[in-house]
Amino acid sequence: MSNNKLDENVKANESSNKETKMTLDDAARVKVLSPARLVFKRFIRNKLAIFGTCVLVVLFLFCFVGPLFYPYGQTDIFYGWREQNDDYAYAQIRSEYVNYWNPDIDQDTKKSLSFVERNVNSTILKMLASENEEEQNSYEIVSEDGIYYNLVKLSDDAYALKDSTYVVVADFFGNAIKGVATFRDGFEDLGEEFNAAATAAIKTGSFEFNGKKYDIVKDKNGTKQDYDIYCDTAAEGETKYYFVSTIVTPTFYKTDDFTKYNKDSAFKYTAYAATFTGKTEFTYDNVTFGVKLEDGTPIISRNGEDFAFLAPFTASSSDTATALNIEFQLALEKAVLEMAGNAAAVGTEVSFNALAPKLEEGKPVLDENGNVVLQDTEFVVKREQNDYTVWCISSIYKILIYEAPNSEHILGTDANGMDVLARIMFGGRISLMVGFIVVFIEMIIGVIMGGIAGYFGGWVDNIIMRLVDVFYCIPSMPILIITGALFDELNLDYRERLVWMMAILGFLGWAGVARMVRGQILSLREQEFMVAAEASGLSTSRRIFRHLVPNVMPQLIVQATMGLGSVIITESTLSFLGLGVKHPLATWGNMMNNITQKVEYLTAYAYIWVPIGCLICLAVIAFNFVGDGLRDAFDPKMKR
Amino acid sequence: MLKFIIKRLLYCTLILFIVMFVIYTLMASLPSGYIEKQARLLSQQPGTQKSYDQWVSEMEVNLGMDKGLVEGYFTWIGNAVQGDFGESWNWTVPVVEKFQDVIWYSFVLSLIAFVLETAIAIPLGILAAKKQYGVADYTISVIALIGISMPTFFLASLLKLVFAAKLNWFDIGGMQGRGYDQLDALGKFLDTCHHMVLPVITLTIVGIGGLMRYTRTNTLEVLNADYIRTARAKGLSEKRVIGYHAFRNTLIPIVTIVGGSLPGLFSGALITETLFDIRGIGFVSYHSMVNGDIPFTMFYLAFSSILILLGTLMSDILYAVVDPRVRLN
Repeated sequence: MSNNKLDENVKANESSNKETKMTLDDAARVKVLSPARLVFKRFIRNKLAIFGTCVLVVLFLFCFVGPLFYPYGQTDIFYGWREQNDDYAYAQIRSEYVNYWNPDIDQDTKKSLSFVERNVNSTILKMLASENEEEQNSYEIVSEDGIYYNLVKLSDDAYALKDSTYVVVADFFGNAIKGVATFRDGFEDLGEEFNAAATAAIKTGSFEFNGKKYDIVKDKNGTKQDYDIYCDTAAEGETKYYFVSTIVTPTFYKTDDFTKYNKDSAFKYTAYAATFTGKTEFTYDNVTFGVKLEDGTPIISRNGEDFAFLAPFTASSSDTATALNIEFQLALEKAVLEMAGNAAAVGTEVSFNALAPKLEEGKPVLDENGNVVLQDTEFVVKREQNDYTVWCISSIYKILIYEAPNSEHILGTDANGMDVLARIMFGGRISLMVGFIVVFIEMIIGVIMGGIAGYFGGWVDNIIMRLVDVFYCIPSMPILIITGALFDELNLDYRERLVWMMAILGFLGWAGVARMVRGQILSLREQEFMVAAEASGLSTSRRIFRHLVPNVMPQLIVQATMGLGSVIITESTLSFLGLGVKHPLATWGNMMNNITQKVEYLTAYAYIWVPIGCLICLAVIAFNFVGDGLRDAFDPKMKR
Repeated sequence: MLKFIIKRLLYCTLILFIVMFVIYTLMASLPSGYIEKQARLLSQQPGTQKSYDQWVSEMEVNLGMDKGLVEGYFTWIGNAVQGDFGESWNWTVPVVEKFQDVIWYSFVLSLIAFVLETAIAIPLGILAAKKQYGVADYTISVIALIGISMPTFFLASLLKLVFAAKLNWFDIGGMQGRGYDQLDALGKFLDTCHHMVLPVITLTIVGIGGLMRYTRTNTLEVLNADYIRTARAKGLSEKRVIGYHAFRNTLIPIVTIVGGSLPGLFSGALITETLFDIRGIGFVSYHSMVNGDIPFTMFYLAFSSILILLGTLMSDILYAVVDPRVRLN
């Protein structure tokens, strides 16, 4: 190599100074390079080392200068409006029958019927369970006073209570020998023959007279000789209902109507009674309402406009501030009732389309007239026991978690809504800085310990080398894991934790440096220049640190460069395990931590963690290349 | 030789004694460890009649942690010498029993990786040296460097991504697949082998780089030696020069380093086992360490310290055994 160089120099000199005569010992003939330049020249001849240096320069620029030009910091959290499935409304199928009293019924009657009213729900259940068609349509309830009433079925959703046709026609006073029947108002007196028949039947309880069947029952409230005679009389005139018991409820088309009529049970009674008895119109409060059936859903109209629909269904918006529009409610009602009719299993999902307000950034879009713009939206309704949840794609203001790469966030955002590229830059800063600081600590301790041991020898050397042996023997990764877990327990501040981690890493790694320095110094101190240094009366520390250590420098630099790579790997492994540098500080290791824990994340967010891993690799490879190059440059004969 | 070994063994014992004391000090002075955590849990339980402090002191007595540092250490080491490492807090079985349960998974895993490593790295290292500065040399060197520079967790994640998540060839982790219990003995064995493939690949790739570089450097040195020039000058075929004269001399340092890494086969692969959920010694001790299980951690640290010392001792002895020119003293 040096021969070549000589030749080149000679050639160069010959070509430039052809006229000047040169002598063998001419200083211009041999270009003498200083040791540093010689090393530099050898270094830049090594292609891999140059590659490594370039990579490092780029990495450093990226990590230390890049953030200056990048608009985001490492802990900025990004929010935005994003489309996503969100609960839109909740619906419920009503299963409880509610009684609406006829406004004409006075309070006393209501009171006397309270027992009947309480039994309505159980009676309806009995009717539903009955196999007898007559019982399905009409069922007798006896009040506490012993008066018979009939609960009649108006439709699948509504029942009504009316007087029974089985009524007391006469009061009977007497015994099995003689008695007198006093007919009540509205019933024709049937005379002595009837009395005789009733008296005869007092033991058996029932008798026939003129083809009609009568029952004679002891009056509970009267004396021993008081009886009531019952008879099934045919219904006459318009039936009077006491109340309507129904599971439906009106859903009003307009909010004003809702506030006006929803609490008005008299209106509800009128509406239900009319609707379920098949009438096409009814009047309430001097307003005429129409009733029509659309797809099996009764719709009440007023002045030709749809007013409310009746269904055993209530819907409420997930957002209490906004009301659900009626088109949506109608569509939802159909979907839900169909699901209920099909006895859909819990968890079944059905999708339907309906008009819903168009939302932008959480607010409804208004047209020029200030009306809400509606758009066709696809909804999904899911059964959850008796409740139904409806959702649709809506726009939500949220932390942008795992955003795909886009123009604003070149590598997207991470699990905390932070910009990945920014965090990679800042993470690189920390990873590299940890590397440098740890290696620096290692070097300082190593040089001091190794220098002392090598220079003084004897028992000092012995003690220090035993210490080196001990540190060599301590398994460092377990220790780091234990201390990492300990920091977790202590809830250490993340900055404090970083400092401690660097200190421990440095403290565990000095033994190799010390051993190398000691070996070098052992051989150096026997050389002549050291004898000269001693002879000229230099102080011990000056001899060690000014004369010996600089001679160890080349090996130190090589070891430090190689050490940087391994420290970066150790640090990132620790952070990857969650035991090193902690959030919110970013490092390359902890950025990969939560992404690679789950399989779904592993595949879905490969674009985040693969570049980071490659960066770690690249940094370590570059440090290794540079270290190799430096070693070759310092001493081409040095053993690898 | 025997004298040397005995001397070294005694020395190792001394070092081990000090190392274990350092580690014991560290472990015993850990605040807020397992005992505190358990005591906090117990003292918050309904119906408990003891306070947190009472629980701590009671548990310390029960678990033998109430003695002072020196006394505690001597008690521990006295028991340890007799093979009694106490009962693991985290796994609630005797430490040695847990160790015997899991060590063989780790050993087999490391052994296969080790065999693969040596089988691949040594020939490739020699090839690189033979074709110095050739394409093969550069390729091998770069691959070796990538292997050295690749963090284990990144390699493991990459393998998981490609072979488990994308290609679905392997499970993402664990040692047994679904329906393991229904398999017959051979099926169970094959299933476990199948789950070991990715960890073995990880360990091999991570470990291969260093050995490859080492082989290459040493072979280069041997190839520059005078006796190789002599052998070539004699007119021996290149095959014989490399395969006989050079190879045997190359093997001296390699056998040393390979032999030195043999005890390490027992120490388990902490990161790889944890990432792939292989219930070997590495996995178990990782969880012991994280949960502050002092008996198991102490045992594991002692065990790995012994392995490190044994490794150095073994490579020294092998050096003398393989190379008769070396004298031990």
